This record gives sequence, structure tokens and C-alpha cells, in this order.
Amino acid sequence: MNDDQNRKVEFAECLRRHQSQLFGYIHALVRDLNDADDLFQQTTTVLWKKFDDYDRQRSFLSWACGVARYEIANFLRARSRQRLYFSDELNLVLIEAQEELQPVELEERREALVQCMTKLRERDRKLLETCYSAAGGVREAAQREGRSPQSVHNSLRRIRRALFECILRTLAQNSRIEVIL
Amino acid sequence: MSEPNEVPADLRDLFDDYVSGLLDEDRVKLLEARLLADAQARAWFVRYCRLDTDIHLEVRARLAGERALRTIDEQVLAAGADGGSRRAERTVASRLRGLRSARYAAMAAAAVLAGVGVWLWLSGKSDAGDEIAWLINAQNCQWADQLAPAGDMRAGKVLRLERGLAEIRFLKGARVVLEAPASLELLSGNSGRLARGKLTAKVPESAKGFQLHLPQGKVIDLGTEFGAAVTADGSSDVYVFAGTVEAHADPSKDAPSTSISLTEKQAACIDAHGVSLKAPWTETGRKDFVRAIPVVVPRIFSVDFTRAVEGTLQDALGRGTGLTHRLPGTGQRLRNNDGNLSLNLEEGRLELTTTNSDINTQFCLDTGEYLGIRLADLGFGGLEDFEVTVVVPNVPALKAVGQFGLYAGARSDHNVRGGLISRKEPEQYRQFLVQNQGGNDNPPHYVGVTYPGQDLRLTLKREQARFSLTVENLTTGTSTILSMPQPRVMEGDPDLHVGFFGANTQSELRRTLILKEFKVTVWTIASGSS
Repeated sequence: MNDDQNRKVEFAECLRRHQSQLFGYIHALVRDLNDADDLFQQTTTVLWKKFDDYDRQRSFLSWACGVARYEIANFLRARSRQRLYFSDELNLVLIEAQEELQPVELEERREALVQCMTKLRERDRKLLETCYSAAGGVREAAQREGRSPQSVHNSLRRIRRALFECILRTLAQNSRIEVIL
Repeated sequence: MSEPNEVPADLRDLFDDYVSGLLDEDRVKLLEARLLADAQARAWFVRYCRLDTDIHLEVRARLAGERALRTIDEQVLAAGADGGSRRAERTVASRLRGLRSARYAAMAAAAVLAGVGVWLWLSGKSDAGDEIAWLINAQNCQWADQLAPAGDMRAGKVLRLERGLAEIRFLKGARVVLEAPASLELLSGNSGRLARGKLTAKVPESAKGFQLHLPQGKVIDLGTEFGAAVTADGSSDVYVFAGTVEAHADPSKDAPSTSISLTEKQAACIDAHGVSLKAPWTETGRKDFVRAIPVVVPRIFSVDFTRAVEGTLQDALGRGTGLTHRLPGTGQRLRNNDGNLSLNLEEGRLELTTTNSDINTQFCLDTGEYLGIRLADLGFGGLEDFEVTVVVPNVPALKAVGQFGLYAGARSDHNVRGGLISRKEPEQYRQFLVQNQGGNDNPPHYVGVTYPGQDLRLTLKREQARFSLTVENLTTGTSTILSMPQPRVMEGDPDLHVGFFGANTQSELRRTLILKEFKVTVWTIASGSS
């Protein structure tokens, strides 16, 4: 393999290891899955261009989130919506919190979520699917069920809390990782 | 390590409202302050957000998985008449279904969203070229989130049309006209899912077997033309224009009838109770569907004031100006040979001397100058979009309050008008657009500044239920647009007039405006195209 190929493989490996955390960081800040996907793509393009400058002593995730932070700031500025989003200062400290969420914990949480979703009432699971699917959304769900959007938001809040607590219980039972909360 | 109930409930509410996008500016600031002050809150916050991300990924993975299995089923069905091989392939599909675990689906979603790109990039492959449908015609389309389909009509793509008509051709040849508001998901080169709204489908021989999934069933087309409409309660109506279709209710439903074969002019309803034949076809029901995107033909009226036109509104010397109608409710006391109008045929212009009249409060409108045409003379039926435009060179200085511009409306007390108004500042105009309702103006909208001596082109346009006034400053090369929603009372009104006006509304100082290149366009629907 030539140098270029080596560099590609190294980059792909770094990204593979941290992509889930990076994606989670971006999604937490922009909240829209499609926007997060676009920003993830943009960020990785920038990361690749700057990969030569990346200090191998530093955490890749921290570096990647730092780059994502700029992309997100530009994106929000272009949409003139920054007032409903966080300041750069907070985005910066959230990188640390994101770094503490290690891949192994993410995986455990995801597995627990799958289990917990099976425990939901059929009606709640359906509502979750409608609200979180690409074609759906809270408005669509509200229309379909003849409810107000606020009432659907209330149901979602209840379901999310139930899932969050269920995940916590599942992690505590399995206790393969330290549950920090 | 602390227990979750140590996080204050109000903070948890903030987190949840944050992921739901429900926070206003003040509460975003509040949440931010709390997070900056407390590392524990941040740790909790990233996990709560992660839950939201994971639910997104998990739900999309599940739906993607189900869709993939349906596609396999369809391919198995389409594989032909060989019963033995079909059975064998069905077994494969059902085994696949059995193998699918939630974990697999979750991993698939993560790969779709984040990892696939890396793999493709490393392997040098491109995912371009696997489109399964194309947008072949569109009219007045507005897509959700401004996301018009562009080279990305692959399986799983959801087309959310908020306004207009879009025609889509599927890979195998079926053509669908989607009518907004509607949501259509592309499933394969010969199938789609209508989640809401209406469509009609023309299915040629090559696409026989085209499937349209509906919230509580599906339609299989056997080479024909049909329409489908999903109502707000999730039930669907299916109408057949020609040929035969099979309407199926979801097999899981405990329904007396799960499948019906429909032929020309028959209709069925698919709902939670199964599928049932509807009352026989009516012409009204038939007209509810758009079967082809109508061809829009612009019809144009224009006068350049280079010749006198007999039988039209006359100037002081009795020469026809080319303009045919005054806005009803104006100009009743003006003479046939209107002393305020003077054609200059050599220069190709109409000179209009303003009068002391005001449409706001209907002051002295019997001498008000509101000249133009009746839109019905251009085939206007009430719903079409239209625009009126005029060039006004070397704008004179009207004293405050003076105004000139364009109007559209049924009467002097029921219209929209916009143009330039001179108010407080001397020797200065502002662009305005206003609705007159019952004789009085609603609060006007203002923008832009222009000055006497400049050359302007004004355009008043109605498009997609909005009025806009564009002022192009031909002297400076700049332009400004002001727009507002169409007043309710004008919706569908077939008896509208458009034209030009000029008035020294609150001063005695009359000025002469020069008008050139007056033009009206109505975008009519060609007959027989829908």
C-alpha cells in the first residue's frame, strides 16, 4: 500500500471507531436527523482534508467534534436560527461530556433500547414509529389520531422517560459497564 | 454516581422539550445556563439526547427492514407464474424475516447514516445510478423543507409535496400524478406507498403489477389507470378509470373481505374494516382526480400606445388608448374624451394627469383614474394566476400625499393596489402594497425608496394565492419586491379588473405621469388537458 492508501485506511479506521459518537454529538446540537446526516458528511469531508494536520496524540473524537462545531455554527448562522440553539461555549464543553459516552456504553444503551421498545404498549410503539419515521412527525401523528400536537408531545415525553428509565434499569442489571447516572 | 431522580424534574422537562424542539429563546438560555453550571447535568443531557438519536435510528431501521422485506416479497411475486419456484423464494423471504433481529436492524441504520459512506469511499464505489423513479413534470410545486427531489429518487425516498402537481415515472414505466398535499414513498421501480393525499396512476403493459401501498391495504394494478386518495382517518378510496385493479385490505385485519377486483368506473374503500365496493362511479368523483398535469398557456394583452384603438377608453382628443375598462366604482363623472389622458403615438406613451381622489375612504372616486382591462377578456375564470405590468419613466414629483401604481380587484371598495406613495418626506417615494376592504385601506405594507426623475417598471402579480408588487428601478438597476397573502374575498372571484392608477390624494397639485408598455398576462389552463 502506498502512503495515500495508508492514510485512507487510518482515517477510515478512526472514523469507524468514533462515527457513532460524532453523529450523536451533531444530532444532539441540531436535533434534525437529516440535517445531522448532512453535517456529518460535511464534517467528514473537512476532517479528511485536514487529516494531515491532526495531532495523533490528541483524541480523534475531540478533534472531530471541534470541526463539527464550526460546521454546525455555520449551518445555523446560514439559517438564521442560532437563537434557538446553544452558544459555541456550551457546544465546546459538551464535547467532553460526549467523549465520556464511550462506544461500549453507546452499544449497551442501544441494545437496551431495543429490549425496552418491545416492552412498550403497542399504541405507544406505533406512536413512536409515526413520530420518528422520515415520512411522519408529530404533526402527522396528531392529524392521524385527531389529537392536538401538544397532546402528542406529552405522550412522547412520557414514552421517552419510560424508555430512559428502562434503559437505566437494564444497564444496572447487566452492569457490564459502569452506569454513571 | 448518582440516581436519576436527583436530576430536578424541571431540568428533565427542559431536556425533553429541547429534543422535541419546543423551547423558545428564553428557555434555551435557561437550559444553557444550567448545563454550563453543572457537569452532571451535561452528562445526563448527552444521554437523553442519545436516546432521542437512538430512537430515530431504531425506528428508521425497523421501517427500512420492513420495506426491504416487502420489496423481496414483490420481487418474488413478480418472478413469474412458476408456482414451485415462487414457493421456494417465499421460503427464502420468510427465512430472511425470521433471521432479522432488532440488533441487525439497529446496526443497519447506523451503517446507513454514518458508515456506508466510508465503506463506499474506501472501496471506490459510488451509490449513484440506482434511482428507481424520476420527476418528469411539475407545476407550482412546493416540497416540504424546500427539498425538491434531485437525482435522489431511490428506494425509501419520501416525496412530500405541499403544493402543486408532480408527475413521477417509475423505473418500470408506471406514471403517477401526485396532487398536493401528499406524501409518497418510493419503494421499488414498480411500487410506492401513499401515506396521505391523492394520486392517479397510468400503468402500461411493462409495469403490469404496479403496487400502491395504502395505510390499510394496497392496490395492485393489472395494466390500467386508477386514482387513489388517502383520507385523514387513514382509509383510502380507489377509483378505476380503465382496466382492472385488485384492491386488498391488510391481511392482518380481521375483515370479512380482504380483496376485491375492480373494473372501469368502479370504486372501493379500503379501511380498518377491510375492503368494500363503493357506490357507482359519478362524474363528480371522476373530476376530483387530476389525471394529467394541465398545460398552462399564458394569454397576453399588451398595448404600447403607438396607435389609437377604436372602441376603447378615449383620450382628450377622442383617440382610443387601447385600455378597455375602468375599475368599477371609479371614473363615472369623467367625460368620454377624458381630458386627463393624452396619447403620444410617436413616443409610444400615454400621459395621465392625476386627479384629487382617494380610493382609501372612496374620496371623489367618480373622477378617479383607474384604467385597465377586465381579466375575463383573457379567459380568466377566477383561479388563474395573473400579472399586470407597466413602465413609468421620469417619475414626476407628486406632493404628499400622492400615489400611483397598479391595481387588481372587483370594485373600488374591494381590491389590492400597490405602487409608489409620496408622504412625509418631500421629493421621495416609498413602495407600498395594500388591500382595500369595504372602501378603506387595511394597514399598508411599505418598503424601498425611489425618487422623482427615475424610470420604473411596476409589476403586480398574483401567484399561488399571494400578491406581490415588484418595482424595478431602471435608472439604478435595482429592484424591490413586496408581497402579501391574497385577501380571502378575492379567492376564485372571476370578475376581476387590473390596471393602472394615479392620484394626488391629499393635495391639489396635479402631475402628469407617463405610461409605457402596459401588459397583462393570465396563465390559463388549456382546455381538455386535465
